[in-house]
Amino acid sequence: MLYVPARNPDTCSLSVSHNVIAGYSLIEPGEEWEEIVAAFRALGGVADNIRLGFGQNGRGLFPIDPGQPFHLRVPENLMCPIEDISFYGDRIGVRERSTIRTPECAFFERYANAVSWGGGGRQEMAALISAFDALPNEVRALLASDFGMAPWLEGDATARMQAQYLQSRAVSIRGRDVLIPLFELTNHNARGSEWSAEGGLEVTGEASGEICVTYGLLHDPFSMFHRYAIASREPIAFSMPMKVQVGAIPVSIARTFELEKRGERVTPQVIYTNEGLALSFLMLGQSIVPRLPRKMFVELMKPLSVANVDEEFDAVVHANATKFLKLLAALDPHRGELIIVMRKMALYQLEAMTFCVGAREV
Amino acid sequence: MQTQWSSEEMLEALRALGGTAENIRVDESKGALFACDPERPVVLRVPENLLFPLEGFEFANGFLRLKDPEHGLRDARDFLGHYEIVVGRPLFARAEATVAAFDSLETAVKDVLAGDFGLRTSFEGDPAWRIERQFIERRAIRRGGGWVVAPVLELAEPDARGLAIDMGNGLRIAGAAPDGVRAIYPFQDPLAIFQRFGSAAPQPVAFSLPMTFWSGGIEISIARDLHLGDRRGEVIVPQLNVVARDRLVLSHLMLGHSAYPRLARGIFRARMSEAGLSDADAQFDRIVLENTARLLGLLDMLEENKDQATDSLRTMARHQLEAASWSIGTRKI
Repeated sequence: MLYVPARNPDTCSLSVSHNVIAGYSLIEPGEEWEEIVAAFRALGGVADNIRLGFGQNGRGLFPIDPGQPFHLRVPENLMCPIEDISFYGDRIGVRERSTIRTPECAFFERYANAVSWGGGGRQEMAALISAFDALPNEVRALLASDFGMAPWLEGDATARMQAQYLQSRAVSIRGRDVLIPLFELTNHNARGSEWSAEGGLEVTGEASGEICVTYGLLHDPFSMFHRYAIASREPIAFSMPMKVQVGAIPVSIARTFELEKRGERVTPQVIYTNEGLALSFLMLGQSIVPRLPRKMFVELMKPLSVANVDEEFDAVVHANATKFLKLLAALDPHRGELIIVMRKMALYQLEAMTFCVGAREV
Repeated sequence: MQTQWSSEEMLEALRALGGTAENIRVDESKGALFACDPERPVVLRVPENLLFPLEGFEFANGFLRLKDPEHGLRDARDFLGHYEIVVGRPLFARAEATVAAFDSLETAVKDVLAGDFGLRTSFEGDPAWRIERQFIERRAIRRGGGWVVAPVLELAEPDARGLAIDMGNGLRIAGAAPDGVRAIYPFQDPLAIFQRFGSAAPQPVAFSLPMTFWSGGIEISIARDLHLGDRRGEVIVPQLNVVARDRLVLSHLMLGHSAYPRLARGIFRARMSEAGLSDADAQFDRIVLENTARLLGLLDMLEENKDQATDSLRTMARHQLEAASWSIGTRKI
């Protein structure tokens, strides 16, 4: 069961303003960077007014001239499907059986080994995996059992580094996870720049500081941690996977995030099975439309003709709050960077869950 | 000059005056109670003649003493005098430590606690006066319409899973106490326990922080007078006082209760309906939201600090959030 969505262009329209972060340092563009950008352009890419730098989120993209608009366009031929990527020792490359053309393969390998995996990504991921491995046993056990974090914690460390690197950089384009050169370097901000993926990926705008993008509306603080190991304040919270009983009917809540169109509305996918009802996700709180979460649950449960659905919703919220409060309790005696990140994530998730006020018609 | 009793002499005197102390041991240095044999239940009863109304006390030289030296029976007065010599010091030291812990908090944290949590009196004013108040408040037990000091029993630490205090004939606790004798102090949430005892303890109930909101053109203030309520059958609801034509005050507001998860919203609905106000559910959600935001803000603020005072504060905030999360559905009050 997936816990979090990949970055998704269909759900990234939250943006209200460009992210402005003061205080960053730029990386002097070396010869190799210039050559990579030239090769990128030669294969159809656009990278105007963009350079590498370090901001408060670590490595990211910045405008060369903050007073001018930036423009990044990555054509589809430069997107590398995750299943075509392989690791050879410390290096990253494209599998032999891949259908990607030779020039694009060569570009990807050079880019990934100089700028991405080989340009700091491997070290960043190694440090993260070490931090997860150094967590106290009771915290590790709780993360694995209650939060689906076993992929960060269990198995060969090198395999985990590689898997988490790919997971954290994948973008879902028409149902296929791909790694998108340059774009994968952008960091997330809930109010970051919008982007589109029609005929290639495109992001434009102006930024006085780091160029941030939103990874999608279907990310809550927990999913941001699960996927990227960061604490990010988000305007929305979804339920953790769980099975509940609504009246006499078993309902399972997932975090697979499939969507269903119902007239003008987009709702979680609802599947009726022999074992009851399955929801692809359940929204618990939404700061922009706080009356939506409860009402959406009530609407989804309407066909079940169950009385007192409000109480079932309260019970789901309570079960979720209990999980994150239990995590906070487990973290309480400990210190460390990752502990702080997790604590903040739990606070942000609890905060987003409280944005459920009354109910509105949907 | 009174001689200092041993704790066993103190318990003997309690028994001689009609009290019961079975399997009870007093740790004089901590001012705490334990079972002599942790495998067996304890019984402790303080008779009516040894329950002293709080308003009859004054504070002098680190001890509580009766304002009226002729109050009650002589034996009871003598008992109290000896008792204060045994437990007054450790309890006073704890009050001093609590005030020192409050004072050691960063200014920004104090400002938040004073402004958002109604704890201004814990930080402002002469420390000696605050220690005195802390010393007295910690010892008071609510009984009927007033407060009493119950010697020996007051040493039971607060714990929601502790022994219930039977208030029928004197004050009595009885039951298993393998890890120390602890008692349930009803109608106290984790914040109230923190304010009174300076420690963090989980509680089944959470009450709102003080705040004011508007509904239908009416200003409604929520206070934290947890002892002020009206009885509705089995349930205590907060007092709803009209202080002006367009201004109401709720003496307190329950946000959640783990044993009665339908109660909190039900009480608020009932009170809002009586006040002729609509949209009570959304209003209740907003109050919960505001409470949660303040508690999470406090937790976030304490992130960088690691000392005993902030540890207790952080644990209190977590317990308060836990108790507040117990609002599931509603019921008719």
